[in-house]
Amino acid sequence: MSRPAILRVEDLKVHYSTPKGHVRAVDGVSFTLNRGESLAVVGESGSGKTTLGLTLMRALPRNAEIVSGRVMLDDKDILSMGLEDFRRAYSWRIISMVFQGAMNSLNPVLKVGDQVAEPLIFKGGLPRDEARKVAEEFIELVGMPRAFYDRYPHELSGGMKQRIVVAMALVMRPQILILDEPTSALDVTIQAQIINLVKDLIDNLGLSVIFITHDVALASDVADRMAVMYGGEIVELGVLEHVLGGAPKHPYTEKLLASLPRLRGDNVPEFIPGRPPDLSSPPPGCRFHPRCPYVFDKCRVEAPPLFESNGSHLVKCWLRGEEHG
Amino acid sequence: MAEILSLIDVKKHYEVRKGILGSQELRALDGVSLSIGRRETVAVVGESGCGKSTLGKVSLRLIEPSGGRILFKGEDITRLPEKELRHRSFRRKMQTVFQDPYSSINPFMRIGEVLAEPLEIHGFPKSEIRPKILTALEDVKLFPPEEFEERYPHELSGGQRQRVNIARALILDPEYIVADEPVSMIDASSRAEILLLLKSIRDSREMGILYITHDIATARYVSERIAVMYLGEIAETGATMEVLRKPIHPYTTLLLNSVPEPDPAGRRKRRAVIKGEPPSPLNPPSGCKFHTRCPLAVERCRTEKPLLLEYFPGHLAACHRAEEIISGSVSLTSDAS
Repeated sequence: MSRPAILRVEDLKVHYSTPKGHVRAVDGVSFTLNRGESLAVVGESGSGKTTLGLTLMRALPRNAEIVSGRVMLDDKDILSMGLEDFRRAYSWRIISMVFQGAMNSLNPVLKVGDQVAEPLIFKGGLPRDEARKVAEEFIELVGMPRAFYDRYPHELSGGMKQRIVVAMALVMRPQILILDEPTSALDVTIQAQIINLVKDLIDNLGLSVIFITHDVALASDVADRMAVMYGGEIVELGVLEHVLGGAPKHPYTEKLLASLPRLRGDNVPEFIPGRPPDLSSPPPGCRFHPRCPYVFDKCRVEAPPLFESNGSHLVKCWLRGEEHG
Repeated sequence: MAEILSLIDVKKHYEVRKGILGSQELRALDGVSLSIGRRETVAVVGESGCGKSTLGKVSLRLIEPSGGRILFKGEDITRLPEKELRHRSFRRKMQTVFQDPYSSINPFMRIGEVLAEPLEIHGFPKSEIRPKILTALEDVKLFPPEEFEERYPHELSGGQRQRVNIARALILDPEYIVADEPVSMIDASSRAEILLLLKSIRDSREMGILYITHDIATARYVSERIAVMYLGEIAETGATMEVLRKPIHPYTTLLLNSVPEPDPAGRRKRRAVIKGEPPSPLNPPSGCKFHTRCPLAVERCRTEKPLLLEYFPGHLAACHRAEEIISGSVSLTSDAS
């Protein structure tokens, strides 16, 4: 893929201080988001995927600490600039996010349209009537009648509230949109509608998208590339065909795919014994080694780097290293 | 197959107040018949609000039905008073596994205490309680059981907690279990484990399971038969594999189309989806309740309610156009909108 990079995450480490000690939620994550592509970040609960999204929006909770790393956007590190500068020039305008569960945090006493228009007035400095016009356009863009501007959240279904939240994230015309589990509380039928909407937005607005989800099947529906997170690290990153297809992959990805119940085909789902690592004291060596069926001595002591194969397919596993000698 | 539980034309209607004066009827269940056999899992699938959870609760007599009958091993228990349900062990023989493994276990109780509670309530002698707890933990593969009975819920993963939930349901040796979305809050890597566990328990204990879910892919793995519900009614029912491979009702077909698969081939294509959202059950559409969203709806569908008819042995659907769909003279595969 020869698209230019729009966002570069370099060796990002984000830790939380908790009574149990330092939790290494994101622990050395690097990746590039290319212009106009959609990158899925998949992982189970506690893998660090939401923390990653919150970091990119500078929306981390107080007990989180960015230990190291850079996030380069337009040759500027958005993590090292002042928070006010980031909010003024970047958040919502260039990089925007649909937060997990956002549809349930709409203000119940404000018209949804006014909530969509809010950033246009307070950040964009538009007069109210113009802001209303733009907001109506975006409400239409996400597939609802303009007249829904005047509705209150309780008058909307879950699917419609989710559309409103997407409109809110888009109204400042950002280049990058992060979606964190945008459909996890919705029925499959409504989920499919929202996913179709996201696909249209990517195509029509030329958005670059980071799609955070626990649902591999859903991710495979929207993504060009996929990053698989486990225990705070990216263990595999590549184009969808490589990650989901027959290419040699990370044992975790392999087992995760085998665990999915499928509607079609004949596979019987398997499960991965054990549980994800405790990130306040992760296991030495490879973090997946206690659950890995292919584990050998080296895995228990030394963490593997991301090995590259097939051009751009990265796999954090010693087995893939062996193949290269 | 001997039937453990049968629901015959079960209805549940609620009065919903509208303002101060009027009230309206909400038909959560509008005439549902379903039976669950020994060593059989029947899946009930549908969107939220279709009545699937109400069905599960009515079948356990946790909600009183407004009409219809509930038979447990052939005996009518629809109107049995609570006292008798208890005395004659119906309550003990019918158990449930809840959706949320986090909120359904008291965080201040050790796992052993969680499992002892139902036994104490049902008056088991003290000497039998501990051995039963250890066996139950082994049955759900929490090894070593002596260690797990001492633990607190927060020390367990979601999957392990759900196994405690299952152990709690099993400890009274039930013959019928309602599992309402038991894996929807479990991470993918442990989900299959819970599903396999439910299957093996059902076979070894000769139970009947009603498996309620929004996730058809999981229903495929645990159930022999499936019922697809829409707005309080069964739209289609039959052997699970047959319904999934050769759905009759357009709702079933479209519901199946909405399920994504981890396959790069479908990427970036718009999927044919069901238009709109389920109508309010307070004001359901006339005729076939699905006609407002059905791409195949004709005039008859708007006026006349279709009956649930048998088209193949054991395979029933409620659709006026079923014959045409089966013969292939109409199909849904066309426009993706």
